[in-house]
Amino acid sequence: MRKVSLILKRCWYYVIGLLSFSIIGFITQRIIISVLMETNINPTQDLYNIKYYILGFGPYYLVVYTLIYFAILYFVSKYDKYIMNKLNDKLEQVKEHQKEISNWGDEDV
Amino acid sequence: MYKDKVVIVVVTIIVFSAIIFGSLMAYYTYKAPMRVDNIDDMIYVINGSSEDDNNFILERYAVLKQLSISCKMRDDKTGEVRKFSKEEMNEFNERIGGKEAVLNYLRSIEDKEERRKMIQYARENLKIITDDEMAEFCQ
Repeated sequence: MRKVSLILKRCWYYVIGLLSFSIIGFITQRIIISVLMETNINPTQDLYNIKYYILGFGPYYLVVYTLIYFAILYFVSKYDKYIMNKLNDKLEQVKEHQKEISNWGDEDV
Repeated sequence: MYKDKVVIVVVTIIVFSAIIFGSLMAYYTYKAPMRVDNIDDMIYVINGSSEDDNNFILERYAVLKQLSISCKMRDDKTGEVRKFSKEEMNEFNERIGGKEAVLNYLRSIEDKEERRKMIQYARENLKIITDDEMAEFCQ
């Protein structure tokens, strides 16, 4: 159950990320193209042609975003492990310190 | 705290990579070969007929200007891509007469209304004359 919810969560992040990535990338692409070609940006015309843009550029955006997404997942999981190890080390240190303190208390008694 | 940091870094990476990728896509789209129905027909159009050199000179120059971005033509039917050398591009330019021939053609139009329309067409639709050149015509 926990695994299923984790997978669903990751799928949701993937879709949200893909949409944001495509929208930001496409707006940048459109602005640069219009500057290079000295043409005006016509949002109505662009919306009308959106189907062709998705068919033409969509696969490139999909492939690149998928690679970035999995790279991010890999590095985040690595960072997660690093942080967990660090916390575990600190926990061990705290435990040892507490042991030492309790030992001093016993000696005093 | 740790989670916030990761979220900020991930969002920044996605935004910056989208901007960089969008810029690259724009560059490759701009530099993509000019798509035509038939390469030989388009070369024939650029070269024009020998009878009247000013025939469709504005359109021919606009096509040449577009071709000069990538120096490549792609046949939409066969998928063939042909690259043009500098010499070939110069030859096309000489056949048309260069930018000077376009400007001379516009200057030679006697009917003022027709001339104004052609200048506007060359500037706004074909984008083959600059604002400075347009200002020169308006004087």
